[in-house]
Amino acid sequence: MTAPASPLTITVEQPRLDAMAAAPFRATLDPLLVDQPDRILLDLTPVGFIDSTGLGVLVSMLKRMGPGGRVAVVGAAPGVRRLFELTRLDSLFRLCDSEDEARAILA
Amino acid sequence: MPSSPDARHEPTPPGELVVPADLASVRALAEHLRQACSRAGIDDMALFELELALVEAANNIVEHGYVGQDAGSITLAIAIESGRVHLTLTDTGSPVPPAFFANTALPEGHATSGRGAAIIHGCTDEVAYESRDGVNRLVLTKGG
Amino acid sequence: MAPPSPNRPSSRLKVLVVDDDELMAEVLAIQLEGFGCSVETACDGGHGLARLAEAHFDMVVTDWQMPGIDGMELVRRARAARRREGYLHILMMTARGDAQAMRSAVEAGVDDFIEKPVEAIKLEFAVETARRNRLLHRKLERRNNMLASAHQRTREALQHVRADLEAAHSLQRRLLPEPGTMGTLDLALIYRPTAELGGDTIGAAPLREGGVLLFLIDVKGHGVPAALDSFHLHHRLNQLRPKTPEELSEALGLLNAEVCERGDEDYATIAACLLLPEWEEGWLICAGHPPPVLARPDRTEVLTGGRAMPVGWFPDTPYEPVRFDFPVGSRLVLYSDGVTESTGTAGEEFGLERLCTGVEAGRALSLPASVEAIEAELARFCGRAGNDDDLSLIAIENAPLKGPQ
Repeated sequence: MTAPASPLTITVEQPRLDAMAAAPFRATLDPLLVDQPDRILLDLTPVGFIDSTGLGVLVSMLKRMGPGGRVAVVGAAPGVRRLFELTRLDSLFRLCDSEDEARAILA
Repeated sequence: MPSSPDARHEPTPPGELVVPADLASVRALAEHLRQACSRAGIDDMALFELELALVEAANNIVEHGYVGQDAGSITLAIAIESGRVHLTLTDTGSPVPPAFFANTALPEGHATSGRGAAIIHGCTDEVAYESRDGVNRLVLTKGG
Repeated sequence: MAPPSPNRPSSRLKVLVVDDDELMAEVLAIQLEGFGCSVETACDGGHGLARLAEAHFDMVVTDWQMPGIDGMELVRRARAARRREGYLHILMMTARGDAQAMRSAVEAGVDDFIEKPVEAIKLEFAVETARRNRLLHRKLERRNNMLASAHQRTREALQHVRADLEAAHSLQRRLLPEPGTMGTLDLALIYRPTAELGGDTIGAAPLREGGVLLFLIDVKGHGVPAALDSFHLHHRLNQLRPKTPEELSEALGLLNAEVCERGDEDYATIAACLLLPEWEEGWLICAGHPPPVLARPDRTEVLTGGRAMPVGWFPDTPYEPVRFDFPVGSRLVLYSDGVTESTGTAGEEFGLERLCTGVEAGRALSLPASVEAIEAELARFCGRAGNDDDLSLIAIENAPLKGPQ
C-alpha cells in the first residue's frame, strides 16, 4: 500500500453558486476531474449562497469521482450548511469545521 | 402592466417588483428580498431559507414556465407583518403540473415533487399555489 | 459498508430510482451505489415503467408526487406487470406520512416508505431489507421449483400406476367366466371389487367329460398384492384342472403347499367344486370359505361339508371333498364373505340367512334375474354405506334340457 496522495483541493470562487453560475462553475471543474481524483477538499469559504442547481454541479462532481470518492467541505457558511442538511447531502459531503479536520477525514 | 395585458391584476402595491423571466433577474429578486428582510430585521438563517425558497421557485418559472412562448415576467410581492414574511410570486407562463405544489393525494399538502420543491417546502412554513385565468400565483409564508 | 466483491455481480442489488427532481435522483443513486447497489435513474413514472419493462430490477425507489404517472400509479402498474416474475422491493418516498394515503399505497403494492429528505441510514436499512427479502424469495423459488418437479414426477408415476392398474383390471375381468351356458350348465355372477383390483377371483373351466371345475378364491387383503395372488391361484387351479374328487383334493393340497412355502402372511379361502351334471352330482372342498348354498327342487340348504383350513395356513392340511346331489333344476351358489358380511344401514350384517332367502326366492326367476335380484337386495340393504369388501358371487344351474317345444 502506498501512502494516500494528498487530496485535491478545490476552492469555489463564485460568491453565488446559483443557476446562473452553474454552467461556468461546471466548466472550471471539468479539467480538475479528468484524472478521477478519489478525494477532494472543497473550500466553500467565498460562497455565500447555493441553490439546487449549484448543488447539482457538486453532486455530479461526486458522481464523476466514482464509487469510493470522498469529499470534505470546509468554509461552509451557516446558510450553505443548512442547505446541505436540508437535502441530507451532508451524508455524501463531509462538512468540516476546519481544514485539519477535513484532511484527517480524507487521509 | 406590459407583461400581462389579458390578466386581471390588482393595482401594484408598493414593494412589488416585476422582472423579466431570466436567470439574471432571479438574482435581482433575491437582492430585493434581502433588502426588504434586513429592513424588517428578519434573522440571517430565516432570510437565507426564504431566499433559497424564492430562488428555487423563480428558477422553476424561468426554466419551465415560459418554455415554447415569449419570455414573460415574474412579479414578486413581499409582505412582512410582525416577523411573518409572505412572498407572492406571480407569472403568466404554463402552470406547473398539479402534482408539483398542490397535493391531492396527501391532504395536508405535503408537496414534495419536482426540482427544488423539497427545498421550498423545507425552507417555508406554508406553500400555496393556484393557477387561474392564465395567472399562476405561489404564496410562500414563513416565520412570525 | 464493504463493497460487494466484483466477481459476484448477481449479489448486487439492481435499483431503479424514479424521481422528477434530478438532483434528488442523483443523490439517491450515489448513496445507493455506496451501499453496493447498481443504480439507474428515471425522471418520471412513464420512463420508470419503460425501464422496468425492459430490464430486471430488484428494487424501485420512487417519489410519490410526479407529473404524469405518479408514484402510486407506477407501483400499481409495475405490480400488475410483474405478478409472475421475480422479487421486486418497492420503496416509496413520502413527506410526513398520511395514514390513509399510505394505506392505499400499501394496497397498490408498496413494501416500505422512506421520508423525504432521505436519511442515509434509513436508506441503508431499506436496501438491507430488500437484499434479505430477495434472498428469501430466491430460496423460496428454488424450493417451489423442487416441489413442482417432485409433484410432476409423482404425477407421472401415478399415471403409470393407473395405466398398469387399468391393464391388470381388464386382465382380471377377462379371467371371469362368461355368463350364459356351459354345456348343460347355466351360470350368472356378481363381481364387484372395492378397489380397481380385487383379491377375489371366480373360475369355471369345462372338463372333457362334460363337467365343470368351478371355484371362487378370496385372497385375504386388497389391492395389487391380493390381486396378484388371486391371478396366480386362478391360473394354477386352471392349469391343474382336476376332474376327479381325488385330483381336486390333490390340487388344493398342492396350492396349499405352494402358498405355505412362500412363507409370507398371505392366505386364501377357496370354494372349489367339481360339477358333473350327467351324474347329477357335485364334489366340494370348502377351504376356509363360507359354505355354498344349494337350491334343489325340493329344498334349499347350506353345504357345510368338505370343510378344511384356508390355503396357506398349515402345510399338511388334508383337503377332502364331499359329495352332494346336484339334480337337474338345482342351483349352486358360491360367494365370498364380502356378500354375507356386507353391513346394513343399521350396522347388522347381510348374513347367510338373507342370502338363502334370496336364493330360494330366486327359484321363481331365471338364473340371471335371480342373481340380479340378490345384487339389488344387497344394494338396498347396504344403502349409502356401500361395501368395504370385494363382492363376488356365482350361481350355476344344472339346467333342464331345453326341448324344441
